[in-house]
Parts: sequence; C-alpha cells; structure tokens
Amino acid sequence: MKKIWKKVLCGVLSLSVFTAGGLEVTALAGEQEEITLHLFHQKQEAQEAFAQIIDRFHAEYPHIIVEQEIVTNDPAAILKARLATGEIPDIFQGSTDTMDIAQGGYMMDLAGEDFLDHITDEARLDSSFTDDEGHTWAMPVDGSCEGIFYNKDIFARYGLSVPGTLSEMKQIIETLEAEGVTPFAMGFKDAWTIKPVSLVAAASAVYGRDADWDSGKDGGETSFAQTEGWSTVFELMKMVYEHGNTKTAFDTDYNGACAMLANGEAAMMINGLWALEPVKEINPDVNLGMMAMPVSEDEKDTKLFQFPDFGLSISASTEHPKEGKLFLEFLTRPEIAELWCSTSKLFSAVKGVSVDFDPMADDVNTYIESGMVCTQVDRGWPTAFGAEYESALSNYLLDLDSLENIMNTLDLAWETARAASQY
Amino acid sequence: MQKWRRKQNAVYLAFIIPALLFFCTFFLYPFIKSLWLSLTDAYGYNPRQHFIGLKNYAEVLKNPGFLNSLKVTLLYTAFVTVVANLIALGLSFLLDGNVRFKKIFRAVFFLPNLMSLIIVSFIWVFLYGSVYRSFVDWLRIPEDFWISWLGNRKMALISMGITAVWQCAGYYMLIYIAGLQNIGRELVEAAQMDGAGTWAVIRYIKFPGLIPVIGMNSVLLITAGFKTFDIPMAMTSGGPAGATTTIALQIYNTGFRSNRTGYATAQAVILFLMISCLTGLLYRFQGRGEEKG
Repeated sequence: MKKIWKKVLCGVLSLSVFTAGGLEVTALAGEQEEITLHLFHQKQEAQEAFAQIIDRFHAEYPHIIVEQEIVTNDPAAILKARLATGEIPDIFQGSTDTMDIAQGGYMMDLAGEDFLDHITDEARLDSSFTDDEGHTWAMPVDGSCEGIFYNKDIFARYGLSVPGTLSEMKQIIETLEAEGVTPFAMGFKDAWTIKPVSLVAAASAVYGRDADWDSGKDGGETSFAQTEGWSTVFELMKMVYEHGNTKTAFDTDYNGACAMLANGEAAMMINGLWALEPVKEINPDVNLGMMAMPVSEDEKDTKLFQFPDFGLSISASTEHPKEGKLFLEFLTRPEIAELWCSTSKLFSAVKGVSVDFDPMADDVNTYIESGMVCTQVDRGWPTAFGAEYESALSNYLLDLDSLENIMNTLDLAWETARAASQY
Repeated sequence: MQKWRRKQNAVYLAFIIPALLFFCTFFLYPFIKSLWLSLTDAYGYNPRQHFIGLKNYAEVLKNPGFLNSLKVTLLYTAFVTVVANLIALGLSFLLDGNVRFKKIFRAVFFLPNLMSLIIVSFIWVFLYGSVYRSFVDWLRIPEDFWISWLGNRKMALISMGITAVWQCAGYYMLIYIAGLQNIGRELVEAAQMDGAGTWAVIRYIKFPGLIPVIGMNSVLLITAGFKTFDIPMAMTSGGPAGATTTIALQIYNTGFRSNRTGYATAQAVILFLMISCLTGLLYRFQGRGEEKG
C-alpha cells in the first residue's frame, strides 16, 4: 500500500514540473522571450559609456539584456581560458588576437552585414578586422593614433613650429637642448613604450611608402634587411633615445614619462592617443599637440600612424546571433558613435561622425583630411613576432647587437612567427 | 584468509582513491598532456594541433632568447642561493645565542616572508625609484653618480636578487636556528671548557653540524630560483633588453603573449628536466655527506 502512495506522489510531483514549464511557455508566448547577451571587453575607460549605450539599447529592445564584463588584468589569457572551456561570451573584444581567434573558428564572419556599411572602408578593411579572403571577423568601433605629443607652449616660447622634414626635426632638438629643455620624455622601464617610437617612424619610413610591405615580406619579395626604411626606423629611434632623459629612460616608467610631458619637463613624448588621459590628469592645463615623425627631406613622406582600435566580434557558437548583430548595428548609429567617442576620447570608425573630444583632435583631423595618414604598420604582424620585435628594439638601443644582425634576426623571427600561426 | 586479505586491500584502496583521483586529475594528466603538447604545433586559440616530433626542442636550444633566459636564471639563482644562505647563516648565529630581544628580531627578519612576492616587488620598485632618488638628491650627490638600479643591464639582476634575498633570508634563518638547536648543548659546553672561543665553536661545532641543513636550504633556494617569475614580472617585465628575463618569464611570454603554446610547453619541459636533475644531484651529494658525517 505504502509503495502505491509513493508512486502516486512521484507521478503528481513530476507532472507538476511539466505543467509549470508549460505555464512559463504560455506566459512568454504573448511577448518575446527575454534573452541575455554577454559582452566581454577590456576597455576600463569605456565602462560608463557602455552602461549608457546598453540602457538605451534595452529601451529599444526590452527583451534583450546586455551584461558587460570588463577584464583589464591579462584579458587575453582569460579569454583564452573561456574559449577553451566553451564558455564563450556572445560578443567580445578579441583585441590583437582577433585573427588568431578567428582562425580557431570561434568568431562569426560579419562580412556582408548591412550595418558594416556605416563603418568607414579604411577601418573595416584594416587587416586586424578583415582578412585577405574578405572575411570580417570584428566590427571596428573607434580609431586611435600614435604620434609625437608636443607641448605647444614650449614650442611657441622658442619659436618652433611643427617639422615637415628630418633636418627641421633635428633643428628643433638642437634648439631645445641649447635652451636647456629635454626634447623627449621616455618611460622605457615599461618596455612596451619603446615600440610606439619605432612604429611612428615606420608609418612614414616603411608603410607610408609601401602599404603592402607585409605581403611583400610574406612572399619573399622584400625583407627587413633589404628595406632601407627599417634601418631608418631604428636610427631615428636611437636619435630619440639620445635626445631626452637618456640616462634615466630605463628607470622611468610610462606614468613618469607622462608626468614629464604634463609638467613641461620635456617638450615631446612619443606614444598613442591613450596617453592623453593620464597626461591631462596630471596637468589639465597642458597645451598639447600631436604630430607625425619626419623621416626624410621630403615633406610628403611624413605620415601619421592612425588606425582603427577597438573592435567587437560575435561568437560563432552564440545562441543569439540575431540579437548580437542588433547590438553591433546599434553601435554604428551616429548618435551612439558620438556618445562613445566623446567619452572615450577617440576617433569614430563610423562614417560622418567626428567628435572634437580635445583641442588636440584638430591636429589629427588635419592629417586625416589631407590623407597624410598611414593605417598599417604593425596591424597585420603575426602575433608571435611582437615579442621578438620588442626585444630587438631594446637590444639596438642598448648597443647589444649590430643593425645588420638585428635586421636578420627580425627576418627570421617573422618567418618563424608566421609559420607558427598557420595551421 | 585470502578472501579476508583481498577485502582488506579493497578497503585500503577505497581510502587511497580520493587522493589518487585528485593526483591524477591535477598532476598526472596535466603532466602527460604537457609532454604531448610540447611535441605539437599547438597555437593559442587553435583547438587542433599536429604532432611535429622534437622540432620545438630543436628550436628552443637554438633560440637566443631562451639561452639568454637560461643564463639570467643561472646567474640569479647563484646570487640568491649564495647571498641568502650567508645572510641566513649569519643571522642564525647571531640570534641563536643570548641576545636581547632575540624573539623580536627573529620576527622582524621573518616578516618579509609573510608578504606576497608581488607586493615585495612593488615596495622595492618604489625604494629603487623615487625613494632612492629623493635620498641622493637630499645628499646633493650629482646626478652623474646616481645608480640606475633597475634601468641598467648589469645592476637590474643584482637589484632583483637583493629583493629576493630580503624576502626569503628570514625564512632560511629560522630553518638554520632550528638546525642549531638540534646540535647538542653538551658538545658546545665541552668545547668551551676546553677553551674554545665563540669563533672556534662556530667553526668546529656549529658549522659542521649545520651542513645537512645548508644542503637542504640550498636545494630549496635553487629550485625556487629556477622557478622565479613574480619578481621580474613585477619589477622589470624582464628588461632592460632581456637582462632580467628568467626562464619562467620567457615561458610565460612565449605561451601567453606570442600564443605559441606547444613551443612554450617544450621550454617548460626543459625547465622541469633541469630542476629535477639538479635537485637529484644535490640530494645525492647531501646523502653522501650525511653518510660520511
């Protein structure tokens, strides 16, 4: 008897589970099912902008909730672990690993989506977003640049103007040193800050002359050793190193260099647009400009390294591809793009959107409008080459190897890195 | 009888199983998988990998970056092992006798060991940087004579070594003190009755008695030295120009910055082999020393 009761009870209980499920389904049938998109990125400074954008997106699509997760500490390693364990965010920032992640098959190809038409062609076709076969693995949202920050007040005090040629640049350095002003602020204790110095020169000396240098290198038609521009890059980097806080360059960190520029202890600093924030935080009144690095006696060679920066991808295995695309589409609307750029102080990748986030933006816009920009440089480099390149830079600065050897090392490192990333 | 024994064995096995499972999942499996990965072209985000034989190992042994990190690690380990041992020994002799406030001193010297290496590293970056600069500035020493603690290739490794010694010497001091307390009081007293001074007691009784402990501390210091990662990561990121890139940091950079998982694993396997050979050798020497003693 007891057993029968048990069976009946079990039956009733399990039935109730079914009915409850059924009720839920019927309740939702009237409206759209609520879904949650998981957004993973590493832009700490964009937290507030994203929160606002997400609210506005939710107001338009009440059934979609976007949850943002910001990882700033070693985001690449964390993303790697997520992908390996199958916990893939619906929308994520692949950053410099975008192409590697795409090759692993984790990203949805966005090529042909209507919302990409709102993005400028240069940004969309950049080799860190769209590959040679025309697959677009990430949607660029904004653009940044790397160049020479200069203190306009110091330049004005000594009657200096933006140099167009290398000899004008050398003249400026000479004048500043004669007046007892340190020309360049360097924070090489943070090794990553050396790279921009070389990239800013490479924009003019290598990629400004041959935008397809990477393909030439891959095809064996050119090499570091054969390209004169690369030797120029290394020599100019050394010129910068020798005319600044040379003795303390490797003792000073990034923040220290920013402070030197902010407090007028140095007239120039080479880095990316992201350095604007920390510099202005130290001294909000500093009057800064941005210029490109001259590499020859021809003004037409002087190009600014300007490139698309932040991009978002959709997971290939997301359960909500339609909603993910809706969110990306939302980011390309002009009013949203403006909100994004004014808060994150960057240039928009969306057509027709230009935001004067800082007086300095004018300088960069002048380069963009006159077409004196170079968008390539390190954008298409094989991932594993980056570390080798950085060590070559400091080896050269500290006279540990000859230029000839370094160029050969770089050639070999490029080939090894390229081979490693192709499977 | 046999049935009982089998049952007994089954019970023992049941007790071992949880630990065995734990060991297999978190040690044996990853270890075997690492060995396999080191023979493949495994790359970052790519879920597939192909067997490529010993190619990674051949590349590691030819790579100047790896050979440089090997040199850096050997120099660093030698410096830390010798200096930390000497300081720890000295402190233990000082604080073993009848010194006033010896317990407080012991605690003070041991304190840095309770801090995380990352925090210790940041403290020393601060000391070598702004604290040092304000100090020499206050002394009015001309800038040309300032020492670049972390910015100079020759100094950076020593600066890192000083940090490591500061952090760990107290710990090894405690082990030495424990070793000293194991040496029979009567031996020391007998020697003193025979007219041995402090130095003679240390030279002929305490020091020989401590030899096994020195061996053990050296093994601990050497293995820790070979695995050093936190200090260069936090203090110098391996710079300037690779002067402080230890093997562990090199492995991390190859695996997580360059995405070359298979290649990085081959480096890790080589590091593992080196550490196990070295400790094996040291234990053998030590074993012989003890037998003789």
